[in-house]
Amino acid sequence: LSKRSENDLMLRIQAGDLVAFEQLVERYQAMVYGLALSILRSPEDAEEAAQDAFIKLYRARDRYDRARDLEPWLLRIAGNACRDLLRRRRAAALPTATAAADSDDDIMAQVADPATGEVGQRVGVEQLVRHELERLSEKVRLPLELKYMRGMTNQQIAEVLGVSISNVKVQVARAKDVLQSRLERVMEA
Amino acid sequence: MSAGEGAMRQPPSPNDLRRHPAKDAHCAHFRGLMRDYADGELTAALGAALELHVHDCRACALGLARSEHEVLRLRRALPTTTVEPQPGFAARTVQRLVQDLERDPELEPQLAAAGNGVAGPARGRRIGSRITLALSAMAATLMVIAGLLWQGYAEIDYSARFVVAKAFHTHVERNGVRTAAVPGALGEGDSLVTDSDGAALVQLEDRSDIVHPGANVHVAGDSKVAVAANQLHLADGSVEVVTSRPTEVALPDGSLLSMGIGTYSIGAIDYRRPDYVLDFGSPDLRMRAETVSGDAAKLARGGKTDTIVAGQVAIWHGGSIVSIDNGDANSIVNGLRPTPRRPDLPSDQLLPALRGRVQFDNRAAAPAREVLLEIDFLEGGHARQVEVRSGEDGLFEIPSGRHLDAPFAVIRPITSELPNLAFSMPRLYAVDRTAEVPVLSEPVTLSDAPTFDCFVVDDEGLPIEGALVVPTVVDGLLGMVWPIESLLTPTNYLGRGSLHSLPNRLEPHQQLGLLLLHGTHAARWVALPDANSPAAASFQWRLQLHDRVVAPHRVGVRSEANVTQDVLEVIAVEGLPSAYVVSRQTLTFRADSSPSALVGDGQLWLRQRSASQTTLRGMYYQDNVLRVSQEATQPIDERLAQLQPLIQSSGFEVVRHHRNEILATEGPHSNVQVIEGPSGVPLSQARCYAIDPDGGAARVLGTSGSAGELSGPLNGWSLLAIAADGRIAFNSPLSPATASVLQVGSLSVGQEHRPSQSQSLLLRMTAVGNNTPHGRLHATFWQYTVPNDWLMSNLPVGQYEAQLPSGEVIRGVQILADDTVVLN
Repeated sequence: LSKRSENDLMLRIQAGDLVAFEQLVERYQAMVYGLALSILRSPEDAEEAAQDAFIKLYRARDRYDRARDLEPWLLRIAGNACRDLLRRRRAAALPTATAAADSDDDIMAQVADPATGEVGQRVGVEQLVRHELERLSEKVRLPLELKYMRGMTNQQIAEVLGVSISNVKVQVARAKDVLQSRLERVMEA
Repeated sequence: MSAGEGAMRQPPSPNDLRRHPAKDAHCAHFRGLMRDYADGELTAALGAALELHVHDCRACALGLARSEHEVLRLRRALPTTTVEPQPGFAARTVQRLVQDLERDPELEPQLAAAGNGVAGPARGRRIGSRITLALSAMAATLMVIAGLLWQGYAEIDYSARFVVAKAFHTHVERNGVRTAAVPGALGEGDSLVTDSDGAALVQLEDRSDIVHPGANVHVAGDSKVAVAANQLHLADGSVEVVTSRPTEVALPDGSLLSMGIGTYSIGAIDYRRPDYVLDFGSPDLRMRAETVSGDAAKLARGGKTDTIVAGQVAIWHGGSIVSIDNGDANSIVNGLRPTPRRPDLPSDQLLPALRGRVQFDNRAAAPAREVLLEIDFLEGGHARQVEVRSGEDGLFEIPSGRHLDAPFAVIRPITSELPNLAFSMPRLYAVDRTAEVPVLSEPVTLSDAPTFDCFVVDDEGLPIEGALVVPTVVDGLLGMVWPIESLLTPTNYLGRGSLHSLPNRLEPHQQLGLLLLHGTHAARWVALPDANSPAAASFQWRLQLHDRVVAPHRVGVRSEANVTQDVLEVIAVEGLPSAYVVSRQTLTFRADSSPSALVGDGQLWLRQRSASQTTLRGMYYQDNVLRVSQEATQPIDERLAQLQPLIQSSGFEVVRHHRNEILATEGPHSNVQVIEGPSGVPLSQARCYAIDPDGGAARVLGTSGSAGELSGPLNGWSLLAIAADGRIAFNSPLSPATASVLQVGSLSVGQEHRPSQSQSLLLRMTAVGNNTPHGRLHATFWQYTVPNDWLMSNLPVGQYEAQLPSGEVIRGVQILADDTVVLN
């Protein structure tokens, strides 16, 4: 979306044009929904948060600054909407046994048979990476996932998460280290 | 293994990398950039510099290959995908918006925090405030419920049963008998030992049916866990514990780690992760415990309890526990009980200012004055940072504000004191809010340590990762810059570097400072204040680099094919009196290759070598044209003018600044003709020394012949020649040199020069002779406090001047080779 057409669209939205708003949603829905899915891990929650983000943008339309790009602003709104929803979900949730521990057993069983010591070949490296990614804490998993699965730059991730670029780099590096360490452990086993 | 896996390069093994550690500062610098390079986040200039470096450095090439492999694997496992919501998403969103507007048409925008506009109207703020209050109340209620549930866990029977669920290359030691581990119970007195390539999973089971298992303990290789007194003990190595209910593990030093629900990492420091594990260089540093995620862990040791919040690392160091904030100390944890507010204070009233005290723990709690503190107040998953400075009495006060409602604070002193470099690690402090004036429950204590931290930040105060902090001596007399690369530290992602064993004795004409280098920032040299100066007490170890644009130079200098050139990259460093060589590359241009090369920013010195001769040229780059730099001699002349009085007072007469233009190299020895500068007159019978331009070390080469000829192993070192009449020739473009190699003698201060009142005589002795019978070169100054017997031994032969406390100067103190002292 060029800067000019972006401005035109926002001008129409500022005038209350819901058709323009729908067009804007269609243009950015993949980006916002994908982001929300990465953060919330649930399609239902991701849709709710993505809708929240667009509605918040509509309500904040008068504050749109034509001199600035829309995308970083929208990303930041979407990040806030996701965090709001996450907080609501967490506040309602009670501590339970971690699913990660259970699924870890499954993947370990596929990797190696403790009785024979035989290393299985059924699990590919990609699956291992995805599996270990899920076991990472959210703080380090999210920047990594946004970077590789959503193709976002460090700058964009920083906007979304409301943190510094340095912080993003730190968390990505940390995620890589933890992944590397765990993968080495699993692969060696 | 996926179909495309075969095309992926195999990563170098970690062992291979360990065999090839970073060789020098340059390597360490580029190591810090490799991940950004592999991710495509590095600027083109830095990327090109990195490529050049790894071309000639096998160790870094391995490191880069590993980073690239890591990214390639991630990109394959986590390909960038576009995820679309269910069809009709846009229409549903519009529909929901319409419903919202119908329900509350006056609702105004509330996105003040979104950062793209001005604050909203008052009504919006009021509504937002109500929503916030409602959410806060809801959150508080849920926290109370969660707290009750937490208390409810106390009903669980904690007595545990330990079961080996998985075991690879692992043994069980039972009653002195060692057998291969198989899945099954781990009984009282049993030990589980993993081989270096082994791993095991131990599950903690209990009689509770609420959660099962209570915890998964992943035992790493080279580790040992044991069951004693119905408790799991980590005897050696590392474990990661994923808990489903509160769990305890005993640690080798007798401490007990109590975990809540979360993931915890306990064990030996992994030096392969230098980014966020500080290397204290101490054999006492053995283990750490980290709350990776979830509830806080509590570490009880010797009657003291440390709380480890998520993101903090507690480290056993030198027999005590220190906690290190890793920059993410923003987690408040379940199970910690905040100190209640003062009951007489209405809930909507701010707490009065908080007071605290900074003191030294090993100086009888002496107040630490003028210490700058960074304080993170932690509450509800957020940290609010304030900075305060302690006063003359070590007291500090934090103004009243909402941040004081937070029950905990992480305090990080960022000011140090020379020469002992006092510093303490940040830790969690509780705020006593029941007092009339809130106070920290204990004073902030600083401890002296031979190791200290410094923080490198950019113009905006953001930490710079991968910067190099190089302790550097600038010699005002020799005009040389000596980086002590063995002491350098790269900064981690917090911008933190740890320095050890700084030289504590320098000669008066030398000054110690820190050279800061980073690829995308302007280099800087920060002088360390003299230990006795008032500035030392308040010197901030927060070092700043400045932004700059890096423009790589493409050097296209070549006169003929098959010529080898040394390219010395020289940068001007803010604060340094002279330029600093940051890299050397040897480029051989062949007839069939491009006669150009990319080098970094800065001024260049090219040393062109051919079969018959070596020529040194100063170059500079301007308007895309590389020019021979006539101006290059100008700074030298200025430097000479500055040094002239000092050199003359030292007894040397500088005849002419000299640059050897012609050095013939052949075989293992260099055949050198020593000539006097532009006149081209050979210097005969000159004593010649080879000087390491980096370290300042020197060795004797010999005496030049009647035509100035000399043969010796120069090996790229600089050449210093001292003619029989005292004239000096030095082939370094940076400075002339004076040199004095002195024999050992002793000095007895005559009765007539002893001060009558003071037992302390400060002799400031300046070696001024140029007799050089030995192989090391130093222009040498000393300060000695004369012992009571007035006899100082092991003094170098030479001429001195002595300065008495009264200010009187005794000139012409001369120590001769036979220990004779002559006072003129």
